[in-house]
Amino acid sequence: MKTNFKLSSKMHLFIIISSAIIAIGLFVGIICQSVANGFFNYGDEYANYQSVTVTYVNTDFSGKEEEPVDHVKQICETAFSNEGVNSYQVVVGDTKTGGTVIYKFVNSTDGGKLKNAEKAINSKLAEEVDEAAVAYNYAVASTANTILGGGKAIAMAAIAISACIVFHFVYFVIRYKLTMALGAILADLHNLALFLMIMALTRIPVGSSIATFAVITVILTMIGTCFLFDRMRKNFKDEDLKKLTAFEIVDKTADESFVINTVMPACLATVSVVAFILLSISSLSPLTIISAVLCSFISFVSCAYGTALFVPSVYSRFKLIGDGLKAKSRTKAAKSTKK
Amino acid sequence: MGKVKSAIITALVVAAVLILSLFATISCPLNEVERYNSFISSIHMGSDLTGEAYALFYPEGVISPSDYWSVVNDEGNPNREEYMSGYNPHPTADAESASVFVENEQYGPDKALLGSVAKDAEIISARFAQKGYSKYSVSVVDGYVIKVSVPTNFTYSAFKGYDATARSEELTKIGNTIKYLTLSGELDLKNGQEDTAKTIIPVSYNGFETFFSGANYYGVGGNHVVQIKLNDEGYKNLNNIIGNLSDGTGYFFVGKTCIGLQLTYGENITGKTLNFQVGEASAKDYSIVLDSVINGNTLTNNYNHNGEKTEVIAITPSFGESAVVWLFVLLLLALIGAIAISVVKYKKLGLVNGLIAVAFSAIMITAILLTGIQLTVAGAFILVLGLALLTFSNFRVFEAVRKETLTGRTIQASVKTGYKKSLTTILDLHIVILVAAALFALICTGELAACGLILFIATIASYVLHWFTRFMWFVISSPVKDKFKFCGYKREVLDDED
Repeated sequence: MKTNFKLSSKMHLFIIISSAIIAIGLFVGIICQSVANGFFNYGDEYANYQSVTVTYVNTDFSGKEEEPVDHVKQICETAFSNEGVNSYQVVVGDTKTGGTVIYKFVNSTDGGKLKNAEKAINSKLAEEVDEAAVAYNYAVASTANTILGGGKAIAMAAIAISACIVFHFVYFVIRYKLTMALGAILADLHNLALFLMIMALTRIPVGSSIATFAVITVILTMIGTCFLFDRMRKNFKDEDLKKLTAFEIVDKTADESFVINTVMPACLATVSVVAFILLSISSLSPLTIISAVLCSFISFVSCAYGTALFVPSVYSRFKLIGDGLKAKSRTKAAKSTKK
Repeated sequence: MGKVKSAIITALVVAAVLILSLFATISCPLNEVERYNSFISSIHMGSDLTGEAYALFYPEGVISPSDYWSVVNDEGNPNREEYMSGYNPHPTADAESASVFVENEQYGPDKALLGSVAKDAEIISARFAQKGYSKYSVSVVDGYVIKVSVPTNFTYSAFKGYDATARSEELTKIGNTIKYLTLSGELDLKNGQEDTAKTIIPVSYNGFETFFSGANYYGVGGNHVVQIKLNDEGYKNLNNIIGNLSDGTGYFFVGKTCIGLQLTYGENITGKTLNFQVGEASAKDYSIVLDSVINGNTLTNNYNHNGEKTEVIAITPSFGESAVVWLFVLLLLALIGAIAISVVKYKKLGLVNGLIAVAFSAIMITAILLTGIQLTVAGAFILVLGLALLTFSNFRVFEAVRKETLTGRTIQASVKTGYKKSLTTILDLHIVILVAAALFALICTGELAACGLILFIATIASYVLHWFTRFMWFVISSPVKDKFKFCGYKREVLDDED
C-alpha cells in the first residue's frame, strides 16, 4: 500500500496535534486532580464503592423448586428498581449454609436509597422465611468500602516502563544511530504521553488496565520502531536511493512501514472488539468490560498514529540536524588537518 | 529434498502439532469416575475469569448482624439482654439497617477502634502485596470490618467442579494464607503447641522479635525453606534461650497462634540464620507474617477469634461464569484470523504459517501450564500480541522474499537472501521485546509480572518458530513444481509493497 504522505513536510501539523492533545489532557487531569476524583478517573478497582450484600440460607423460597439465588436476586432487583439505583457489578458466592449475593454501586449512589432498598429486601425476605431463619436471611448495605493499596502496582509498572524506554534508547544507540535512538525514545515517550493524556481527557474509568495497556503501548511502539528504523537504515544505505534527499528517503520509509505499523495495532483493536462482544455476552453487562476495551483502543490508536505518522515526520528533522552536525565536524576536521 | 522425505517430515510435524493441540485443548471423561483435563483447563486463572475468594474480619467487640440477630431474635437465649444493651448499631442508629454491631466499650467518642482497624488494614494490605497475587484487595467496610479478597486461583476444571479435589485444595490454601497473613500479636517462642503453653523468652529480652532483622523464603529442588535472620543481639542470646528448652524444642507463635516452625536444639541454626524446611504452600505465608511482625508491623486487634471463625467465600467472576469459555473462543478466533490472513495473502505458504501459529498456541498453553502462571484477560491479550509478533515477523520475511523474486531470482535463492536481509530486523525486534518482557516480569508485581513472563516465553517461542517456519517452508515446498504459486507470488514485476 502506497500512502504518498509527505510526512516530512507535515511535522508542524503533527506536533501541533500531539501537543494540543497532551496539553488539554494534562490540563483536564490536573483540574480533576484538585476538584474531582483524581488525575485519571479511577474505576471500581481502586475507587471506593457502596454495596448491598445479601446473605441467605438454602431455602425453597417460592415453593417452586427455584434456585434460592435466583429468587433472592429477583427480590433485590425489584427493590433497587423501585428506588431507582443501578449496580455496576453483581457477584454470587456459596457459604457454608447457603449463599451470598453482592451488588456493587458507585460511590456517588444515594446512600439513603440503598438503605431503603435494603429495608425492602429485608422485609420481603422476612415474609418468606420463619422467624428463626430471619437472622440468616438478610441484606446489609455498606455505605463505605475503602479500598487500600493499588498504588504499588502502578508505581512498579512506571519503573518498569522507564527501564524499558532507557533500554530501548541504549540498544538503538548501539545497534543503530544516535538520531534513530532519539527517534525511538521520542516514539516511546510520545505514544505513552498521548495514551495517558487521552485517558485523562476522556475520563474513562481506569483500574489496573491502565498499567497493562501502558505496557502494551510501549511494547507496540518498540515493535513499530524496530520495523521503521531498520527499514530507514537500509534505505539510507541503499545505493539506488542515494540521489534522493533525506526527507524523500524518510517519506519513502514511512510509506513502506505504514502498513505494518497500522495493521498490527488494527488487528489487536479488532481482537479488543471481539473480546468486548464475547465478554459482554458472558457477563450480560457491557459496562464491566467497556472501559478496558476503550483503554485498549486508545493505546492502539496512539501507537498507530505515533509510530506511523508522528515519529517519521520528526525524525526527518533529527536526521537533518544530525547530518548538519556531522558535516560541520567534518569541515572542522578538514580545516584542522589543513592547518 | 525428495517427495517421500518431505511427506514423512511434514506428516510427523503435523501429527506432533495436532496431538499437542488436542492434549492442550480437549478434555474428556475417561470412565465414569475419571476425567482427562486438558492443559488449558488445568491452567490457573485470575480473579476476572474464575472469581475471587473473600473473607470478612471483625475485630473483638464488633459482630455481624447475623451474630447479633441470631441471639436477639431468640427469646430463650441467656445472652439476649446483654446483646441488646451491650451493642450499638453502626453506621446508623437504626438496628435494622446496621451493617455491624459494636460493643459499647469500643464505641467511644475517641474512635480508637476505628483508627486501629484502618491501621491494621494497611498492615494486612502490605502483607498480601508480598504474596504476589495477580490481583487482590483489602478494604475497610463501614470503618469496623476488614474485607480481604484474593483470586481463587482455580483452574477451569476446578472452577466448573470437574476437579473437586483441586477446588477444595485451592480454597484450603487461600484459607490458610488468609489465616496466617491476618494473625495479630507479637512473635513468641513457647514450649508447647497449645496457646496455653508457656513462653520461654524472659521478659528482660523485650520481645522475641528483637532477636531478628527479617525473614524470607526460598525454594530449591522441591524443598522450601523459611529463613529468619538473627541480628547481633539475637545471635548473642539465642543459645541461652535454646538452652532453657525443657525438651530441646520450641514452637514459634504469632500472638496466640502457633505457626508450623519448630526450633530444635542443635538443628535449624546456621550461622546467623534460622532455617526451617516447610511445605510449599506455607513457606511464603510464614515468611511474610514473620517479616512483618519482626519489622514492627503487628496488628493491634484480634480478628474473628484468632481466625477461628473466618469463612472464606468464593464468588463468581465479574465477567460472568462462562468468561473462560468466551476467552478461549476469542483466542481461537485470533488464531483462525491469523491463519486466514496468511492463507489469503500467501496461499499454501500461508498454511505453513498457519501450522506454525497452531504450534505456537499449543506451546504457549503448555508453557503457561508448566510455569504455573495465572492467566487473566490481560495475559490473553499478551498471548495475542505474541501471536501477532510471530505472524508479522514471518510476513516481513515473506515480503522480503517476494521482493527478491522480483529481481529474477529463483524461490530458493530468494528465500536465502530474504532471510539474510531480514535477519537483523527480526533479531533486533526479538531482543528488544525479550529484554522489555524480562524487565516487566522482574520489576512489576501481580498481573503485570505474569504478563511480562508470558511475553518473555512468547518472544522466545516466536523467534524459534520463525526459523522453524523456514525449515517447514523448505520441507513442504520441496516437491512442489510451481513454487511461485505455492507462495502466492507472481512472476511479473509488482509495486514494492510491505
